Amino acid sequence: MSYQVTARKWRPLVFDDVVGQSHVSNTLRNALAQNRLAHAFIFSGTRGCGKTTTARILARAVNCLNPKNFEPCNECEICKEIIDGRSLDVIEIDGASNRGVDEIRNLRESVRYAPTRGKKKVYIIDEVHMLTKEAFNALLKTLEEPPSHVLFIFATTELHKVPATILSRCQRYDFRRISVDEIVGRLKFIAKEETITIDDDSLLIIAKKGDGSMRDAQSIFDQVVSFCGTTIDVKQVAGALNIVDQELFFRVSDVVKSKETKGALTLIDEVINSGYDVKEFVSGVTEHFRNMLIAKTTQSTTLIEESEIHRKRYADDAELFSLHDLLRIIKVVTDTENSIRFSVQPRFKLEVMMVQLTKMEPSVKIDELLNQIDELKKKLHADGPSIKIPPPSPKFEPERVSTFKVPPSVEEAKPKYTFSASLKTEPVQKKTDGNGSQHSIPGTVASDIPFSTVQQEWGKIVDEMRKKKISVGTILGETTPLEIINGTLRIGCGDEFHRSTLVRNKEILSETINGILSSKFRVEPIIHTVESPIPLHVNTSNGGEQTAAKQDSGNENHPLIKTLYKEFGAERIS
Amino acid sequence: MESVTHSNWDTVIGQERVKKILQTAIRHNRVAHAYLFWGNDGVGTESVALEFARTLLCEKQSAVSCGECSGCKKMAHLQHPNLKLIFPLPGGDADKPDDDSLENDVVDEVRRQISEKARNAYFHIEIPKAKFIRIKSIREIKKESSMSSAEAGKKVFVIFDADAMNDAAANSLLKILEEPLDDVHFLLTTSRKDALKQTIISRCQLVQCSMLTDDEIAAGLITREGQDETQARFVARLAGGSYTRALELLKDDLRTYRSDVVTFLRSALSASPAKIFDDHDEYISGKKRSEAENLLLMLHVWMRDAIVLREGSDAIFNIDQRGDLKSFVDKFSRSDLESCLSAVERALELLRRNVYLPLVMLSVTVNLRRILHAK
Repeated sequence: MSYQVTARKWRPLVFDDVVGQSHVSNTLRNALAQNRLAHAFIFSGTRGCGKTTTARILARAVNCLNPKNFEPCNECEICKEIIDGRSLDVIEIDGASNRGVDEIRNLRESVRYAPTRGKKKVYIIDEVHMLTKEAFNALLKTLEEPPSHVLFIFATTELHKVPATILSRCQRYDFRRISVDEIVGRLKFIAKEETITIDDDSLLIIAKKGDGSMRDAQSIFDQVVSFCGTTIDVKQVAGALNIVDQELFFRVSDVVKSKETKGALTLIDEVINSGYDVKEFVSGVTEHFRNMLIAKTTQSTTLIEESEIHRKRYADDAELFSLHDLLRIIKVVTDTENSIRFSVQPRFKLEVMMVQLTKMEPSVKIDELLNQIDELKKKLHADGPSIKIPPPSPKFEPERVSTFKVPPSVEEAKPKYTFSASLKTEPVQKKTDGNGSQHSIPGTVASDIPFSTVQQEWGKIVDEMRKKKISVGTILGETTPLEIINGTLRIGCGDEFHRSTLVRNKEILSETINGILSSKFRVEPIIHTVESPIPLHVNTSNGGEQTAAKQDSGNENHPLIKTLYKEFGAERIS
Repeated sequence: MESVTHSNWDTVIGQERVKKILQTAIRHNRVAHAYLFWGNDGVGTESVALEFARTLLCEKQSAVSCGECSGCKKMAHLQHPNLKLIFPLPGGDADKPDDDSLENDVVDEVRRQISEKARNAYFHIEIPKAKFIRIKSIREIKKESSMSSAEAGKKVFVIFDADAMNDAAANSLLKILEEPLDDVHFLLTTSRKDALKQTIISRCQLVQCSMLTDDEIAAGLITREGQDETQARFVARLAGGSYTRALELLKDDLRTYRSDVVTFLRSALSASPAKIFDDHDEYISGKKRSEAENLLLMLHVWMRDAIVLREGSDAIFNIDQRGDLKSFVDKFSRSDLESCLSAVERALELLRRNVYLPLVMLSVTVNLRRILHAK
């Protein structure tokens, strides 16, 4: 007889041998014992967890001539017939190929006839989720009240595709994923029977690769055996399956820790040249950092599915990273894992990932950050009455501000950005004030349109903007034109929010302004806080002159104001 | 070309590990009934599958096909009666599901492509308008695998692009894939293992085909395509481990595309926005899709090289463009080159999804501008 793969050769023949599904086999055996067997079952679960196997055992168990402890004997005529697939009473149907309503009609016809030799006529429909809607519906009546000699067993991996009307007529059994230990146990047994020497670490690798499925694990086992012969060790297994050397993952975390970007790129080169699959490598990296996270959070290594030596290393290495850093690393790696799937050049993605990881700044704890902010606030209040009017104190030197950077990773701290931005405005404002006094006049000379015209038309511009885009118009109403430098119109904004909104809408903004003034200004919104908060009623007023006068009322000596007084006979209102 | 006459494992470039696995399996008489060969596009999954099929069908029944028996001779033209090739075929008329016949011109095309495949195992069969392997192809497999065949010996079904099976087809393959008759073998290939159903994967022995090394590709190009050493090395570097890709790259004059990258970047970054719109029309009109794709691919490699160079490593692909790259990196070392890489990749993706070409090119230009000009 020609070679059969392990999964077929060692398909369990009795309930006892079905691994990891005791909740199903015990229930079924008890049902047989008490003679309370239902007439329809549906088995669901992932691939290779024993659905079809259990269905076949059950079919034999009900028909067997001399069952032992409600297990089929597998020796009597009927059992043998069923095993060889010769039996007329056990009909296994491939639901995916015979999915139409016609096939189900044939089935309904044949259901009426009594079994030829056994006690029950068993219909096993595998991959039942592929039946068409009509086929399912044609089955409903028969399924609810079949003749007493009929037993239906459905098996499927995709239970959600089976209509509720079918489910409610069946007893439903959910098969579990098989744990690594259980798979190792079974493989050990098979290896012993086939006189294959294999060590525990190899079995562990194979079982892990099986990912909850006995069939997957057995396929891999076959592959290893056909590659290595009858004596197998870990090295050979890694070679046969092209499994990434665990050492490489530890080197990944090492370069991430030491921030050696160049070393990381060399490492990738090595990975590619060793012929490892890039996707497999990235999921390996995910698992590696997941293991560290586990070691870190649980302070134990029992949940890590690795060999003993590696567990110890995880326990040690986990101390190198903070919890937050690990979470962020895992986020970056899983993002890459997702996007790499359909990538043109997976290698590039992997390289970018490594660059990102090695460039990652260590995260700051939010509490510490908040404390820092609170302290700063206190200092601010001690120095001045409000943040908006920061007195020219040495505390606000740019260096100091720059140390106040919020790490981009700390999402929750984002709202604080506005705060830091308004702090930053101080130096900026100083600068613009200083420059403004010098440049605004040359500016007006250089441009065809004097700055004063801009101020005059500002109300009109705001109104026009409101018509075009209400959100931008409203924002614009709360800002003031500042000056014109070399054809650039600067608009002063109270805070970062106003500025960024205008920057985002720069195109439409400059279009509107230039449309009304028939000019060719470039528009540059900058942060500019005035001593008194910008009055809200500017919105309602249309007088450009008034607005300008009001806003700068605090600064009589400003060259602008002077010009206003001189050229337009402006008056102070308040 | 000699490729037709040498007919053993040497037809497969590289993949020494895979060859060893399969040969040992034959020697130990442990050949499984279902294999899935997976790996990136063009690394030789199909070539491996065909050679394995040839070895299984060879009358000598050894680990290496003899190339002399009638089986091997028939295999040389992929016309062995016990071999069946399955690949995506255009769907018939939806209103007439029973009408399986293909149009005459499609049949001719299929014939032409199969003979091309027989000549060069790295040629990828691609029938126009065929996206899926349909259930009727699988039904044929079932019928044929259960019947006795014209010739004695094993029967081999090779399914190229197994991920192209639609849901119905994949599901109806499951039962036969798990428990076929004796001496029936299924060899599946895919470049997108993730797109395959887990239930299919679980029934096969998985064999991963690695990306080819630059040396392997270069050696292949020299002996098979008669390329000179420099050209072969250069193309091999850009092929990203794929021999099929290397063959495609040979067809086009790559050097122009690479200088195009520099021109493209220059015009994209320096001109005023208005000028770009004008230039752009001119730039892309008359350019074919494949040309644009090549340009973007080169741009992709360029961005990757820029990142590598910025990080102080020297392992760049565009070795002869080091000077240009260096000045690019110096200028934009503070820009978000990673985003540039993603932007180009996104454009490539859109291009493959058949998005209107000028739109793709415009958006990638604008994106690159925005990223590189950001302060």
